[in-house]
Amino acid sequence: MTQKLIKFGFDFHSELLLDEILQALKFCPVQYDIEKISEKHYFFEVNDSKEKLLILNFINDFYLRKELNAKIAPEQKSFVDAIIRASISK
Amino acid sequence: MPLSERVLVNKMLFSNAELMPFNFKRMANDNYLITSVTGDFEFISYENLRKLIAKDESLDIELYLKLKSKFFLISKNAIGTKRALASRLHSKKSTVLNGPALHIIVVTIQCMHSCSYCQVSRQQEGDEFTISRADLFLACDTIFESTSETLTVEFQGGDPLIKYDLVKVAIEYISEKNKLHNRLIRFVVTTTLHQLTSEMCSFFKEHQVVLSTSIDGVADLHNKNRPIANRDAYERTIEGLELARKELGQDSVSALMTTTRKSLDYPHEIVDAYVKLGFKDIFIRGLSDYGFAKKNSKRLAPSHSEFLNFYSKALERVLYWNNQGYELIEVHAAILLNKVLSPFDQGYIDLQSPSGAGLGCMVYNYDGYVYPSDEARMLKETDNVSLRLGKIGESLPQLLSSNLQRNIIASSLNFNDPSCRECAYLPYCGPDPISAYNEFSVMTPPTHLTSHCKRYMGLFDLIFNKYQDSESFRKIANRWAFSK
Repeated sequence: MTQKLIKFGFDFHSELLLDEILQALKFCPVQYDIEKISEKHYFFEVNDSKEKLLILNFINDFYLRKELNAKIAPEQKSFVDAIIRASISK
Repeated sequence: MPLSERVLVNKMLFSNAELMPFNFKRMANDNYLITSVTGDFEFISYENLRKLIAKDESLDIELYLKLKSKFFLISKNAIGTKRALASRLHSKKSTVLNGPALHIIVVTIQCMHSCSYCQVSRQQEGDEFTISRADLFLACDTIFESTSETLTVEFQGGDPLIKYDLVKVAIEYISEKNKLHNRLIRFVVTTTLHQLTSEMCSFFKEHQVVLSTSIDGVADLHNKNRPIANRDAYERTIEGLELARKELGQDSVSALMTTTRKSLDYPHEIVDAYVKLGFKDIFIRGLSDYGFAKKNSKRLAPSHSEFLNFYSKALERVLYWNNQGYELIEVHAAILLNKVLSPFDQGYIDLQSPSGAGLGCMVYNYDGYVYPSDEARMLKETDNVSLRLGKIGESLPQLLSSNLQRNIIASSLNFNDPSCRECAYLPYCGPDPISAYNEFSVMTPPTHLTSHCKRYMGLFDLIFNKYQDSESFRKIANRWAFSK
């Protein structure tokens, strides 16, 4: 019988909620496990260091996307929304 | 321009500009692909992406102007630009909204093959596996209710040439009726070519019918995938191919291949076989696990990463042949490139939002019912009839306003979808509710978990990375995007 004793991974400290982290990693093509150690402290179990980098990149892009969304004027958002709806109505 | 003047000009430009919604994705070389609402795109560095988001005045002016022309930025109160943007979006969506253009008539599901990955066909005997003449004529009438100016009428099976009399009578009926309607009609017969005769070829020539067949590449692989009693499926297809080319012309037959686990070791050999057979295009497809095929899919179907790895090698081989001077189009890549590079969409059913199922395609099945796509009718073969739009003979407006059709549309709006909304490939893609239903028994599972999303995410990644990295691919890509 074999038992996995060592977990490979990395600590991750963040303001993000677990749900937000999962959302950030929605398209991340990496198999990982995440464990919440304490408030703002998570542990990612991964297979190698490349996967760590990929996960961190996705989380960084999540922040960037939030920043972008905050910078787009509501009137431009509603204009785009309106023309998309108009383009598919017939 | 001196730095101080450049900053001043940029300051003026940025003060009058606003960011438009856009999506981005980090690519293999750490550059970012950014895509605007219209599907215009640019590759930029992380630093420039940050500058763009911050509307940083030190952003290069040429890049600023380029991004503005691609609708990432817009001048305040720019009514002309907004009109242009609306017009671009409308052009992209017009193909799928012009009325169903693809009409598939499933004449019979009888077939001499017993392919383990076939979704529908077995060697069934008896009338219940063939469309009735009454339903056939009703289907032909419904086709003309479409508002689309161009119509493709495709005969499918099984092998429709087993019931050639029905194919012939339908083509004659539609051609006669079209003298009044005056539509641009293209007939396609999807067949193994085993039953093809000179007499059929004469008729097909008269009505400009094109043929579509399946060739899995090398003979041994094809014969294993597509068994028939004498184990000579490949040889008989090639005989039919030669006859069709002799009677109807060199480009009268197009072929596509299906990737199974058995194909994975032969990406180059399969492409080379198409070149040897003189084809000008090859369609490298994954296995669709609908209908009967679902039962065997674990054994037969490659995983997403296996398929992508295979596809990537096969595409490289296609590019190799192009660089050698042999023009060969990989159709799957050409479809994606058309979505990315052309202002007009060719209407590929699987990559539409709203979905092309129903809106762009109608399937008149041998069982007397109408389905919104080829995949939807395949589910029927495993006794799932929930994707029927209605009975053959119901009017097209009636079919298109059915509850099922409304659900398909509502489930395929990518701008409403929490996964698609953030995806860089949003302008080129859309959720596939039929595939989602087949996989999860609901039309709206989380889209990023669907096979459809995983497959096309991988294919778009591959195409965009290649487009960014290779000048020679960009040249070929621009040709392929406008090839059909």
